[in-house]
Amino acid sequence: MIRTYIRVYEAFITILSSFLAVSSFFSTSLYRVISETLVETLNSFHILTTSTQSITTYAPIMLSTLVFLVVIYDYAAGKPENMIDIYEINLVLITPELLGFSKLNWLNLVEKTQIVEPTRGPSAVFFTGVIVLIGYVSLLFTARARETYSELEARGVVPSQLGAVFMRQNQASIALALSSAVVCAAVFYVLPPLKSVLAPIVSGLSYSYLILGAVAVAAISLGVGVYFIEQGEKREATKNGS
Amino acid sequence: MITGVPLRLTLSAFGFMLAGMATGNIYMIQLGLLPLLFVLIGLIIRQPTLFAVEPPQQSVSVDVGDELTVTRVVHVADGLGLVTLGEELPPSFELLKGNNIQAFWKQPGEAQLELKYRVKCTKRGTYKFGSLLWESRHPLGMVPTKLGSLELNQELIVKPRTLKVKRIRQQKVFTKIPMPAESRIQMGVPTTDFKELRDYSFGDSYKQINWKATARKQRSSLPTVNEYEKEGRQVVYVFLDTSSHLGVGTTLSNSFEYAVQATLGLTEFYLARQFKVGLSLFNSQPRPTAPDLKGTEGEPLSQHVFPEGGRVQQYRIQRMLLNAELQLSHRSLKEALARVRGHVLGTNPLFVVVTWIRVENLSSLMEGTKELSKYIKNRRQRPNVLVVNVSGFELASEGQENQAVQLMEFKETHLISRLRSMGLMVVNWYPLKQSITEVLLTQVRGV
Repeated sequence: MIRTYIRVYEAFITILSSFLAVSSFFSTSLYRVISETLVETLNSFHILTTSTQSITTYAPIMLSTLVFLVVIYDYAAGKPENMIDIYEINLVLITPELLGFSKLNWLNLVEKTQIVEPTRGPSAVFFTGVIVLIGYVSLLFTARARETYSELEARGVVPSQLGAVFMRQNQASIALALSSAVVCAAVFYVLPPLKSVLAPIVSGLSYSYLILGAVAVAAISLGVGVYFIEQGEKREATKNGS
Repeated sequence: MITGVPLRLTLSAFGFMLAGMATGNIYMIQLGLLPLLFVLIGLIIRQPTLFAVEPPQQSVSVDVGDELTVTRVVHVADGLGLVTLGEELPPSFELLKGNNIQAFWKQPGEAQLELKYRVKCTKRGTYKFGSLLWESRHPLGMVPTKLGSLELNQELIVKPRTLKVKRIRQQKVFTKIPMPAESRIQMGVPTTDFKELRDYSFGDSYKQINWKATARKQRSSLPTVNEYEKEGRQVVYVFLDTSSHLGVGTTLSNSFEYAVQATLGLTEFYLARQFKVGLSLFNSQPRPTAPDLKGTEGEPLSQHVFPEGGRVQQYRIQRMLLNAELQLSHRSLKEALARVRGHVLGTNPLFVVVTWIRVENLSSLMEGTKELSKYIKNRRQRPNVLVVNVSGFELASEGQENQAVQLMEFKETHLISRLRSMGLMVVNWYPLKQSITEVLLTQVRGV
């Protein structure tokens, strides 16, 4: 029974994140640019038909169908690799809209007018990204929990224990994904007022924000690296001690 | 050490952050925080590592076919995650309830986990539960699974089930169950029962000299002494067949298992009546490659328990039967008897042979029983040889009554009658139809 609930959750989060990702893609100017370019190309070869003229109507339907077919296949397969596929598709679809909020628009360097122009507010785009990431993380771990379930089942563990363990594993991963999302949302809302406080300090520095950012990422990477090394040493020490 | 999943998530996080840096996109950087936070919080959670097991009873003793509830209580001091406990079971054990591998979700803080399952001990022997294996997994599988074991050092003795033979009062009057004829012990404390006159020999007491008989003797220079019966217990010697054909059937239900149970029941019966009981294993169908009689020096002693009485002897017999296996002995009945002849010579014992009489082993059994009767003095009466035939056709057919079984059993009666014609007492036992007690009671007159 618990497996059914988890499958329902997976279906919900898969459909929601894919729907948001597809919507995000159709909300960008990139989609408009692509469809206009396509119509122009077909026109130049004199193969413009009634259907290709109204490509802006059919393309979203076709693309959505294609995306959902792939996503449904991956959902049905239910392995961790399939969950990564769903995430990658969604990531590709939301990236154009995310890039629309870039301060440094590399695509504009190719002398094109604003091809990734956002049409929605930053909150909508950010939370679409958050939901896609929650979907990715939780789907990845529910799929892994399912693998653990099958492994234990093959070893002969009784179904009642399997159900309890499976439920707890999924609760842990979903709770952790939601907690991370809450922290991210908090950062999203706290950052603008914090920015107004920090901006006068940072603007006084004579370095580019790129350099400051690089330093920040390096510091985070170093922190994560040191943490991993320390964890490894602790475990080694525990192993030798026992 | 971490697994591939958190690394993948960390790389995703840094991918978002670097892309955000490269494009000046604060939202991408913020999104990168989500998988990074997930990994960091996940790695703060520790899987259980400190395990301790409550020491179990050092030795457990059960009978074959008994159900045993195994309970292991494990204390886990730390961590959160999936804990799997398990222990190896002997292949012949049958799991009835639960499983010897169980999975638990360990909550934070101290916890007590109970591995409990029920097994049926289907085979005799001494088994050892050396250790309890544990496996600890991180709740999200972010770090490698830890494995370990906890010392148990528990011994499980699965004894052959004793088939209780009821006591029949005044058996000499009412029953045909053979008992040892009389005491003929060469050593021991002399009783007041006169036995015979003989010449004086060194060490004899002067009190024993029969002066009148000595005076009557004219030629011999040696005085004549009175010889009295020695105080001693009568001897029963049991021979158990270990030939492979007794193994037909299942692990739990085959002729050999029932033969072992009957042997144990009979030895207990005779030991309880103050007899000296000995036990030897033999093979009614010895392989042609088996060593001959001359090569008996290297024979393992576990195939013979020489006649003794008391509880210690019962223990010895039990230990031997615990480890008795098919084909353990390669000696025929005659050869096995030759091996122990020193212990039965002059004791006028009762021989009990537990076997399954087949066409293949009939000649070997006849030859062996002929040899047995040589050790019995009172040949005018029925020889003190009891053959218990543990018929296994029905066991082999898993209890199903069919014509083939009936036909085979009918043929068997013909073989039995050939042994009976030699003056042996043959008890025919169908384990699924009757208990050994019932079989022996049918031998009681008037019942």
